[in-house]
Amino acid sequence: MSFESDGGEREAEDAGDGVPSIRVLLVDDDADYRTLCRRYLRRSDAARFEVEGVDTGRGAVSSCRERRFDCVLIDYRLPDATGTDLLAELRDALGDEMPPAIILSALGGEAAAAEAVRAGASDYLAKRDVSRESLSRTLVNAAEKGRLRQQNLERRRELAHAYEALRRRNEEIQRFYHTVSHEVKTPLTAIREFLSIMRDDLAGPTSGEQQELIGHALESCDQLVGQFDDLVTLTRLQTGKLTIVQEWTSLDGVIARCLAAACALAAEKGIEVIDLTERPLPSVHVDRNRIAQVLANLLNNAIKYTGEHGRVALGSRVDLEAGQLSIAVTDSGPGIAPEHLAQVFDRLYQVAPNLCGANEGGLGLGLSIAREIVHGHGGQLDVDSVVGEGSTFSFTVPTRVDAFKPADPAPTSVTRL
Amino acid sequence: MRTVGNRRLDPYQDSEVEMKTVLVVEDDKKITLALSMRLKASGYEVVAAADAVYAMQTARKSRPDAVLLDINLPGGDGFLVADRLRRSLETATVPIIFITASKRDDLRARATELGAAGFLEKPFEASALIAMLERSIADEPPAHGA
Repeated sequence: MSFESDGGEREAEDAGDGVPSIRVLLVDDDADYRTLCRRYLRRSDAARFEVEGVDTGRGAVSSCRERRFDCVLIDYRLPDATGTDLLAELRDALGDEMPPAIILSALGGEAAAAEAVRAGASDYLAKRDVSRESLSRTLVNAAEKGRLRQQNLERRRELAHAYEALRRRNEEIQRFYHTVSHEVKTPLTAIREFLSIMRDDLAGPTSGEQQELIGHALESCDQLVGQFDDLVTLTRLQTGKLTIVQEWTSLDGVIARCLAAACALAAEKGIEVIDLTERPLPSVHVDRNRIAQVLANLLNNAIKYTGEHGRVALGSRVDLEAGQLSIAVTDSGPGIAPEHLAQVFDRLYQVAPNLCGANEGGLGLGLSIAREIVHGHGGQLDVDSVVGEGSTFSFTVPTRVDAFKPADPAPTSVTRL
Repeated sequence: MRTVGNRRLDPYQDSEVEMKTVLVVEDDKKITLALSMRLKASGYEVVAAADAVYAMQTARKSRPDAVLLDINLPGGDGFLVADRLRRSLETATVPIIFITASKRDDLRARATELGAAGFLEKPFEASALIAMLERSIADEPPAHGA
C-alpha cells in the first residue's frame, strides 16, 4: 500500500475566504491516475482540496478509520475488492460516520451509474468524463451533501434526546402528583370524616353552635379538596395523562345541568342567568364530562366576576362549513383590559380579584383547565372583553352537518332570580 | 339490642336481622377508625387489616359481605389483595369497593378488571359510602348461606 498525502493531518476548515476546504481520499491502484487527479484538484478554484491517496480497499478502510474525510473517490476495479464491495465494507466499518463516496469507473454508462448509486455511492464518474472541472464539481457536491447529511443526523439525535428528557420529566411529574395526591388526600379525608362523624352526633350530642362551627370547618375542607383536585387535573391535562374520550352526543343534558348549578350559585348574588342557546343543538363530538367541566368553569367564572344583580348569558352559534359549534358565556362584569387578555388563561393569574367585593379565593386554575380540555378536543377557547361592559368566553367543539335532530320541544329558558 | 354471634336480635321484630360484615383494608389508622365508626353506626360489623397478609387471613376467617380496599396500599398491595381475594374460593365473589385518592384511569381500569363493585374517591361522603355498600351487598348473594 503506497500512501501520499498533500494536506497533512489538520482538520478541514474554511480559511475564511469563502473557499471550502475539502479532504479527499483517493482510492485507485493506478499511481499515474492518482497523480493526474491530484494535479486537476490542485488547480481547482472551486475548493481547497487536501488529497490523500491509497491503492487498495484495505488501505481505504484503515485510512477512513484513522482520519475524517469529506469524501472518498473510489476506482471501481481495485486489486482486493470491487468499488461496490468497498462501499459496503466502509459502511460496516464507519456507519453514520461514513463520508460520501464517488465511484470512478472506466466503463461508464447509465447502468453502471445506477448500480453505483444503488450500492450507496453518492455519485458516479466515468474516467473518460473526468476533467478538472467535472472532478472538482463532483467532489464539492458530494462533500456538501455529506455535510448536510451529518447536520441532519445531529439534529435528529438532539431531538431524540430532548424528547426523551421531556418524556422522563413528564413521568416524574406524574409520579409526583400521584404521590402528593395520596399523601394530601389521606389526612384530608381523615379530617373530613371525623368532622362529619361529630356533626352527625356519632361521638356524642353536639350543640347548635358546635354544629355551625363544624359546618364551617367542613366547607373549608371541601374547598381545599376542590383546589387540590383542580391542580392535579390541570397537571394531568398538560402532561397528556388525562384521556379525553370523544363521542358523538348531545350537549343538551350537560347544558341543562350546568345552568341549573349556575343558577343556584348566581342566586347568592342576585345575578340573572339566561339561556340564549339555539335549540336543538346539533350533535357534537365531545367527551361529555370534560365539556361539562369547561362549561361549569366558564359559568362559575362569569358569576364570580359579575357584580350583584348582574347578568350571565349562555349563547351558541353553529358554523356548519367549519364543522364547529361555538358556545359562549357572557357576563356583565367589569371586563378585562387588553393588556391582561392574553394572560387570563395562565395558571394562578387572577385579575383584580377583589373588584367584585366577595371573598373570591381559589387557585385560578379554572380557565387553564378549560383551555386544556378544549384544545384536547381540537377546538379554540377565546375571550372578548370590553372594560366596563363585560366579557365573553367562547369555545368551539366539532359538530357535523347531518346531525341536526328533528325539532325538540326544548324551550329556551329564561331564568330570573 | 342484643347480639348473638353476628345476628342482631331486633326487639321490635320477630325475625332476626343479620348484621353484615365489612372488611376494611387500609393502612392509615385514622381513616380506618373513621370508617369503622361510620360503618358501625350504620349497623355493620367491621373487621380491619392494614396489610395484604393480615387482610387475607381476616377475610378467610370472617367471610365479609363486602370489602373496602385502599387502592394505594404500600408496595402495590392494594391490587395484590384484590387478586388474592378473587383467587380464593371463599372470597371469589365478595364485592370489593376500591378507595382511591385520584381519578387515575389506568388504576381504575385495572381495578375494574379485578371485578370492582365500585370506587370511592377520597374524601368521600358518608352517605355515598353507605349507599354504595348497601347496593353492592344487595347485588351479591350472601357470603354465608342465610
